[in-house]
Amino acid sequence: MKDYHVTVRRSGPDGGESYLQEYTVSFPEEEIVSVLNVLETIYREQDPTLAFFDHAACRQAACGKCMVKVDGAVKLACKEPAHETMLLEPYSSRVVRDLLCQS
Amino acid sequence: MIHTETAYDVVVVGSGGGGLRAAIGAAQAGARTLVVCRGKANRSGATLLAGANISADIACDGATLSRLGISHSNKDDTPDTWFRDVVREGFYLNNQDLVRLFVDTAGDRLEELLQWGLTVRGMEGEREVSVFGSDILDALYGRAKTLGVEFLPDTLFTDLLQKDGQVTGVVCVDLASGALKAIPAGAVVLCTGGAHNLFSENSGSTDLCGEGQAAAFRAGAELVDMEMISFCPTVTRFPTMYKGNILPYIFITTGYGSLLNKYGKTFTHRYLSPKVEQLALDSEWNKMLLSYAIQSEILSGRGAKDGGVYFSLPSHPAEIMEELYRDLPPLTTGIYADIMKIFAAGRSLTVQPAAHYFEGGIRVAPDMSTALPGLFAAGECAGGLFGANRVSAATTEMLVEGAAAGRSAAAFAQGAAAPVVDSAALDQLEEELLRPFGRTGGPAPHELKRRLHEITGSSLTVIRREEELKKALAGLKELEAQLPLVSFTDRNRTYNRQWREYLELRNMLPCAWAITRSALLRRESRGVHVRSDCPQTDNSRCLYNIVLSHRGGVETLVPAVLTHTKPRDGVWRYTEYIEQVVEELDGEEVRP
Ligand SMILES: Cc1cc2nc3c(=O)[nH]c(=O)nc-3n(C[C@H](O)[C@H](O)[C@H](O)COP(=O)(O)OP(=O)(O)OC[C@H]3O[C@@H](n4cnc5c(N)ncnc54)[C@H](O)[C@@H]3O)c2cc1C
Ligand code: FES
Repeated sequence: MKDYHVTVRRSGPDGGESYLQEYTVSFPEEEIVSVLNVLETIYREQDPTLAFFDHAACRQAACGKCMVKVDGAVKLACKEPAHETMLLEPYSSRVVRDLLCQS
Repeated sequence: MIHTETAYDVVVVGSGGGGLRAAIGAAQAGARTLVVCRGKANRSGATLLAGANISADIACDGATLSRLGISHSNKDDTPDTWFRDVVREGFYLNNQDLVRLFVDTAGDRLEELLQWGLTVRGMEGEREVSVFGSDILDALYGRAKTLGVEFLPDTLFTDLLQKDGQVTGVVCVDLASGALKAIPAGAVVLCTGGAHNLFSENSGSTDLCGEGQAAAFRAGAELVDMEMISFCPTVTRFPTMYKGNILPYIFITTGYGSLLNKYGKTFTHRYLSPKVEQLALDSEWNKMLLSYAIQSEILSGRGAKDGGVYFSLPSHPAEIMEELYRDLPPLTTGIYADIMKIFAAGRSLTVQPAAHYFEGGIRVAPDMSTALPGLFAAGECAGGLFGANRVSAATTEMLVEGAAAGRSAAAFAQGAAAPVVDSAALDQLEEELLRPFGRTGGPAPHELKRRLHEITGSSLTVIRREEELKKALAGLKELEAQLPLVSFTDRNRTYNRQWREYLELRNMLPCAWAITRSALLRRESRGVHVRSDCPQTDNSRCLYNIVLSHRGGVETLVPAVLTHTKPRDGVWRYTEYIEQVVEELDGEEVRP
């Protein structure tokens, strides 16, 4: 198995200061996983309060709605392979909650 | 309190091609029109994914294509010939009045799209014009905006409102704020697309959960032929990053690559006669036939370790790769370039049949009205046009039905009294929608969803049988009982995914029930519905549509609408009957 160490910049739904939270998830060695796969796994297995765009997600780099900042660069979460260690932040300043921003 | 918003003449739910075209139709007829969309107004639903942005098709009869100057290769074709083909391909379960509308108005729908700026990229088949799904959305969205249609994005529809047996609006959730809204409407058009996410393996986007079908059913509309689901045979399962991607299907339809079992052997010949295998590999029938062969191989235990079979694309001789890139230029960029790296590294993709298109759905009349006054439906969430198997274009279905539904809804709204919202019903609904916030210690919604996927995965995929279907019904009943007990870790209503999954499940469970129930009632194999315990196609006893109505808890077997052509009487083995149907189709194509 291979571990992915993820730090997420979170913001509560009620505004206030953002903070960093760390998660570790593992996938089989031969897997290829996206940032979106990692976020999904965190939601399902560790933290159901983590918010990121997923309510009308094409998962195929077609809708352009899953943007997130990965180690400082804005990427599509479904198209960007997960980095072994990565910092995930909202892509804009108009944060609704955690990684979800108003479009 | 659920806040009651401004009233509209027509509310359309869903902004795929069906919803956008319905909104245009309603606005053109003078109705004040709102589109409630789960995601981004012009970038959601299956329409966006059609043809995987390599090559989607819109279908039209050859004579009209010639008149429009698009292609002259099939100019002796007529709507009548096309009609016969669609009915045969649907194994005679199609509502022939809907097929008539389809073949007669497809040309108008294509012509107007060209006027609204759609780019044609070439031809895909004799009747199939090649386009991009995103281009269809752009052309329709632009037109709707010009007509003053309003949009409410990132808003989840949950229920229909009604008073005195007539639809009076919709209830939805603003996902960002968590606010519940009641929107009164003179008429409602449901265009929510398919129920892909009932299945763990599906080719759709995450917004397709069968919510329109279930809400319509709960409110008193009928569902028809829900057992009919097309599986796309070769959808990526592994690696996880590309799960749901249909590129291997595009390869197969273009003629590239091969399917291998765990021993590296081809296997389709084990399940299909040489003639039928040829069809499976070389024709539009590939969805149904390959799904059947692949699922059979998986069930035999010769599948890949991750559950599917291998799709392999040999990288040498190099000339073949050059041919491939010439045929499919989009492979050099974006997500496809990434997938091609997997093949370049000498590996394969694991693929398997995945839920792809729903032939069944809300039962509609040719004007797209339903059994519930004031409610209309169009596109993939409506049922009946393609009967037991779709071969022709679903994009054309959404356009044709969308236009008819929008027009009818506007006319209905004009004649209706101002919509009144029943506040007692609204209070009761609010209690149900918010219930888990007041509970603790119950199951998590994603846990129930996982169990739903287990049930659909083992009982409702390509090959079905009575014993499994009965188990599925029992499992679904258990999940229905668990749903009111659900509780959340997350107590805030702002973009609360647990809440959203609970609301989805409220609609996914009845939808799954309707599919299972219908699959049990159809004791034969026909089109995309295959029963290993009833392997024959039975024209003597089974030429009926399965109609479910929630109000009376009634299940009816209604004789199929055979207004124009009828099939031969008799009983055949499943694949034998397919051979026969295809021979008839080919026969028609031999013209002087
Ligand atoms: C990968 C793929 C490839 C395909 N390729 C082709 C092809 O090449 N040719 C072809 O003819 N057909 C193809 N199809 C089928 C075709 O794309 C669809 O049948 C058609 O686009 C359906 O249109 P629609 O408007 O009815 O639904 P959709 O386009 O699916 O739109 C449904 C809309 O409803 C919204 N919605 C759903 N639930 C809710 C809710 N609760 N609240 C608010 N909004 C909601 C969605 O967000 C979306 O906007 C393909 C399908 C897939 C999945
Ligand atoms: S989910 Fe649509 S682009 Fe990533």
